[in-house]
Amino acid sequence: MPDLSFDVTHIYTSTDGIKIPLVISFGGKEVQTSGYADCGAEACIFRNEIGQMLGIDIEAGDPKSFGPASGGALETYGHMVIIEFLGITLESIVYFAKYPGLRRNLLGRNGWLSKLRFGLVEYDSTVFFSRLT
Amino acid sequence: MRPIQPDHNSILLQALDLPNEQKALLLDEILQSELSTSRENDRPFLEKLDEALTRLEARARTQPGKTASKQISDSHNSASRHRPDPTPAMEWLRRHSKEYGGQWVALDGDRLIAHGPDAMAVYAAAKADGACLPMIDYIEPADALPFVF
Repeated sequence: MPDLSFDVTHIYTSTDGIKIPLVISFGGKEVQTSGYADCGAEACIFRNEIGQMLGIDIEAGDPKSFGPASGGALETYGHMVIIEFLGITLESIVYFAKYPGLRRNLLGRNGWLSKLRFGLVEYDSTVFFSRLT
Repeated sequence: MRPIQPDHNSILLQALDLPNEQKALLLDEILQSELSTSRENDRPFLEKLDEALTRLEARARTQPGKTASKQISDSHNSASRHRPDPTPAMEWLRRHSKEYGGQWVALDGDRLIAHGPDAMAVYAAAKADGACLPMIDYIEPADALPFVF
């Protein structure tokens, strides 16, 4: 059996997903909000409105389109930001939606999961994290 | 000679506009000033704030080469800075999601500061409230379909 150890344990109370409180920072501005852990998302994708609150010139970022499961394309722009959650701090590229109205902020593989050791016991509503060094 | 009275509003606005790290430094300056002599306690607070701001500006001028990478590096240490416990806000979001579905909310712990459909209006109200790093979040409508990206 593999022997895994983690630095942080978090019990999530949300019933609609694994909702993680976080602080996102850019250029000295910071916003406390939440994001959903999403192992199926290729990257971290945040609402346009959060980018606006941080004073980011969203469309000046790295353009990238994502294909949701339902088809179509979600246009986004990537920016280097700081994400803090549960005592862990990461410097990551977050893709902000071109338009307002995205339902959720998503914490995906690149920029988040790829920098962590991550454990999940959905039955107990518990996630485990360690930052990879 | 009577000292020139600082413009209180402009001093306070200057202080509020500072990034959080600088606010922490400013608070430290004021506390140090308070602790240094007992006579300090007689001076008006805004006068001390003005002096502390001036000292911060002078310090920034003597360290002009602060690079973006240094700023990122400073930010890495931010986990050690004081952060409000998000638990009360997360609990509030769980309890009140049906009432405020389809709206943005700003919370200071379990205190609702503002809510409404306009994200930036809610954010502006939260800033005006002066709460320390309020939780700003969107609550999905109660009748929203289950989420799959």
